[in-house]
Amino acid sequence: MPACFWWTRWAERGAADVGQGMPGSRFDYSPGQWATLRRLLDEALALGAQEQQAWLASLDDAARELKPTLARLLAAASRPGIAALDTLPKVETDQFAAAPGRSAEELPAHGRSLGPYRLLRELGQGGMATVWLAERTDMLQARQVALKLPHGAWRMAGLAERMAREREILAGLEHPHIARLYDAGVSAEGQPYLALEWVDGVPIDRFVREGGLSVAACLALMLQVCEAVAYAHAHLVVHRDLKPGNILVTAAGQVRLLDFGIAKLLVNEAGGALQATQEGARALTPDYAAPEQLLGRPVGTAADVYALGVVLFELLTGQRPHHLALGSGQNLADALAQRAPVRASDVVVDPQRRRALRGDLDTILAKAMKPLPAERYATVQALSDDLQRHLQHQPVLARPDRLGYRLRRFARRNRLAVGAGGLAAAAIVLGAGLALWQAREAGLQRDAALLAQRQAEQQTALARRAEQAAEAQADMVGFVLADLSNDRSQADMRQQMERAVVSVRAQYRDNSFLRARLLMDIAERLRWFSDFEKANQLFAEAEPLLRAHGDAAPLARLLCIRARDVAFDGRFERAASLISEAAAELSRMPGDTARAQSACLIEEAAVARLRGDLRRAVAATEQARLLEEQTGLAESEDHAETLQSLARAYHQSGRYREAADTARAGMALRSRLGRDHTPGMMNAQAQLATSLREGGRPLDALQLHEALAAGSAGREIAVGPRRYQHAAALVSAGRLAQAAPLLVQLLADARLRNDRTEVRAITILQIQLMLDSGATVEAQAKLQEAEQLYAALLAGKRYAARLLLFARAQVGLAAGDLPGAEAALRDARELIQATAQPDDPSWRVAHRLQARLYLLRGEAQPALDSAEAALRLSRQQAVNPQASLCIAEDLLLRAQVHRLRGDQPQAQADARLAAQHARDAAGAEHPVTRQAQALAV
Amino acid sequence: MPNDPEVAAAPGAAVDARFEATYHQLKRLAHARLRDGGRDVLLDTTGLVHETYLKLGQQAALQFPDNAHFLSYAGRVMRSVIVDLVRQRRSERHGGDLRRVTMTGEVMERLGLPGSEDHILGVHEALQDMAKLDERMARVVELRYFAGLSDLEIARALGITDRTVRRDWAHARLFLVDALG
Repeated sequence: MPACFWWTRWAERGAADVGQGMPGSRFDYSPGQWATLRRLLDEALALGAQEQQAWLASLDDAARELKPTLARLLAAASRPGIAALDTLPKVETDQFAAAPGRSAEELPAHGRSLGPYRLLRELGQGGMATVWLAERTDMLQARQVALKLPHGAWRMAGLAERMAREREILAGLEHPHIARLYDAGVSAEGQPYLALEWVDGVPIDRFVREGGLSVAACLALMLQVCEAVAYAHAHLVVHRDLKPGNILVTAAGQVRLLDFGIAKLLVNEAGGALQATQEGARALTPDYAAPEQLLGRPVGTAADVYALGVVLFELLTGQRPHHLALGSGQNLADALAQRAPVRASDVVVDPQRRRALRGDLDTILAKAMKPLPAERYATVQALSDDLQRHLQHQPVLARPDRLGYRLRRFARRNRLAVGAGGLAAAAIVLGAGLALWQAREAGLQRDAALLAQRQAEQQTALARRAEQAAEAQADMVGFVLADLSNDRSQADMRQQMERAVVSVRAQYRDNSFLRARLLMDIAERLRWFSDFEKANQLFAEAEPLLRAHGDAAPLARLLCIRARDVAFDGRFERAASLISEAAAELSRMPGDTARAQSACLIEEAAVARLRGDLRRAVAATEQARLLEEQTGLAESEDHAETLQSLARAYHQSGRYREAADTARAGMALRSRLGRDHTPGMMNAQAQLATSLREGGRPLDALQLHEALAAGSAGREIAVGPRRYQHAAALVSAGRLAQAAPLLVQLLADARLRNDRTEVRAITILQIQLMLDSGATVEAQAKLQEAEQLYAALLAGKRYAARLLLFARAQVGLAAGDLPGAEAALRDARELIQATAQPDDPSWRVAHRLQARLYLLRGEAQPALDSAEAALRLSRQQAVNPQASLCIAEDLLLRAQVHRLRGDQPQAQADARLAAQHARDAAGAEHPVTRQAQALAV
Repeated sequence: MPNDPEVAAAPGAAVDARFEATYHQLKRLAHARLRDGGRDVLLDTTGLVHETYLKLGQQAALQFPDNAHFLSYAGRVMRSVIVDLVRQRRSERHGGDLRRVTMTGEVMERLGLPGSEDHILGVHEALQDMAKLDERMARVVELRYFAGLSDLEIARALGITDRTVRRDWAHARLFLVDALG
């Protein structure tokens, strides 16, 4: 058990420190002796004192060696010290009491000594500490210092150790704009102290305000600040508590930064949050603290960048960009959610100042204060450089704030369905240590939660405003989650989700309405990571709550998702009824249901697809797309997902051109939304590549795959299926030598993962490759493997089994086993007939194979009919009807048939056209190109 | 609190949730541990519990199936907290860091009786030795002496009968008094 282990280590830590006068151990018994002692004690303690003596005397030989010990032990019962064991003795102290309030005796007083310092006068009091002007008395020259004395709970043991550690680093910061830390220690009375360089200056905001400084002057000061912070960062020290109060300016106009890293010294990670629960204590000034800091996440130099942004904003506009009003009893998550980004130029009144701020400075500030650390300036130096550029009238490097733009756009949409959940979800995903930052006042006020409920019931102006803020935040959530999934592994994300679930259950224990919505939110995201089991658990948990509250939109979504899941199991009736139920829920709901409806249409399409009804799948998805475009939902990531679904639906129907176009539209949309390196984008690109390949453009597909591979190097994002598509593109493009080893590797990986679908697909592709290379014997062997893999699907007459039958037929044709090929082909046609629709792309394959069969049999007319049937389909399905490998293949086939018929001119014409197609779509080296060229002469 | 496997999966939240639930319990315990009588105490009860929480919060890999386990662990932590504090005071008094100034008479007067500190450390170290021979007995003592749980509470925390607790305690006190000299 981990806990046990930890404790033991802990206990060992102090083992070396044995004080004077401590007795030696009396526990040096062997296990055998110990057991015996205990048994004997049992006996003895059952007797009275007198009887014990007799008993002792009568101990037999075996126990005799223990007799003195026993005597001693029994005697111990009457020693005075025995009572002392009943409870901890008291230990006196004068200043160790960690009382929340401060009594008079505890405060240091003028003239008192503290360590080597003599206190002169009190300079000020903060939430954490009192600062005194003090003099160092043990040096030749008395030096004046600012002595910072943490009070309250900070005056506890353990601080000395921390201080010593950090002292080295902080004392080493020597910079003209940084106030030195001279010393840190703990006095004999247990009072920790920090001795800082005494700076005679005023806080920078006061300096700017009272001096009426111009923009340029403010920036010049800021550059000094940046210099100092950058220096510290170079020494691996993060300030963590930058604010005007810590940035002093001397009369000479020189900046001095205080308290570098002090916040870290004094704040134990867990203690920081805990501190806030005590009266009068505030570990951080929330207005300047970066979101990740407030939520207890790891803090890096980006947090300082953020704070600098806030400070600069304040200097330039006279106001803070946002106020975090925690005092009213909101919890942190809600408070953070109320902060919307503000443009500096928007808040100033003076037109001259506004002109000066608009544009570059707005952009610089926005970039410094991005909620996500990764989106800010990477270094303070970068911020400083941009400020310099602005001062020198050069273009700055920061780009305009698209997030602000996007948020305003999104505020127009009605996201009632996810709105309330988005509020807290953002905070949950950003940080794990939430729920501890509660207001000082006792009792939780649930304003935000009640508001969310009210907005479901009635549309008041207040509710609408909160709703808009929630909408904006909800979109931020989506971005945040998608962003996180870029830089983290899927395992990290899943863990993050787990923590989110726990937090939701704890924090919204008493609010089932919000809890249900949040759990829905998380569950839907879990599906992105294919964690269906966990997602279903959450759905099951949320459903009764949603029903109880009559929360129609998320309930409808839940039902639709469930519909898809049961459809996956083949229970189409059940799926259909779930969808109707969902539709009924939606119709009952007042207000705008577009998003929920669209989501349900997507699920309906998925069900249809599983049923094999591709037409319905396409139709439903097209409906969803249209609905979204008409209701203004089109500039969103959800719409990009809809486009993705549509592209997939087209693709499965063999409408490759439309599939490619739709995939491109999705990619363009994502790019506009700034979602360029997300898994969603990669999926869209992969879909495009696949459609290009199937639609007869293997070279284009290959190019795209290569770009994708380069782009996602080093990232762990669902790579498997994409690599398979890449391999398929290689095979299509005739790059057999390249494809072969890749397939071997993919097969091994897929087997390792026990991904049977992928193993099957790879095996089929390998057969294709072998046939294309003319390795018929190997292909036959592979086919045997495939037979095993597909046995169950074949027996179940599943659509997927057609691939096996095609492979059988192809191998048969190559090996000269025409009856075998014929049988396989017949079975394949039967299967497709039963499970697919007339325009299913598989028909083309069937026709081609049929044509080849007839060709080998020498039956010209049937061969021609089949070849033409295939050609018709490949023309229909081609992405580029002027240049398609599929058309080339079918033309080549027809050419061969014409040659069989003895119609040489027609054969050559077809072959020439085939060569043209093939050259453009697949390159001059492609086997089809060469074969066609050979036939053309 | 019901047995919640999800809680175990998210360690930070586990500690937080348990802590909230048992905060008052722990406070009561801590208060009971430190005799009152008009003089200052080493830590007031709030401080003790919070310091406990701070240290607990650092254990990332904790999993608590229920309150009993938590209390048992909290007892262990309280022990370390108290021992750390006592040690620190002693090392200060014995002049650990030269930089620290010598005590003024005033301060000296108000320091605690050395005996108490010795006693606490003595028990602590005796328990370390005891644990090598009889882990359970050491745990019983720890929960009783440092955490101040009743026999019944100890029994629940350790998953044993209260009869066993009483027996262990009856033996332990003898061994301890003997060991402390």
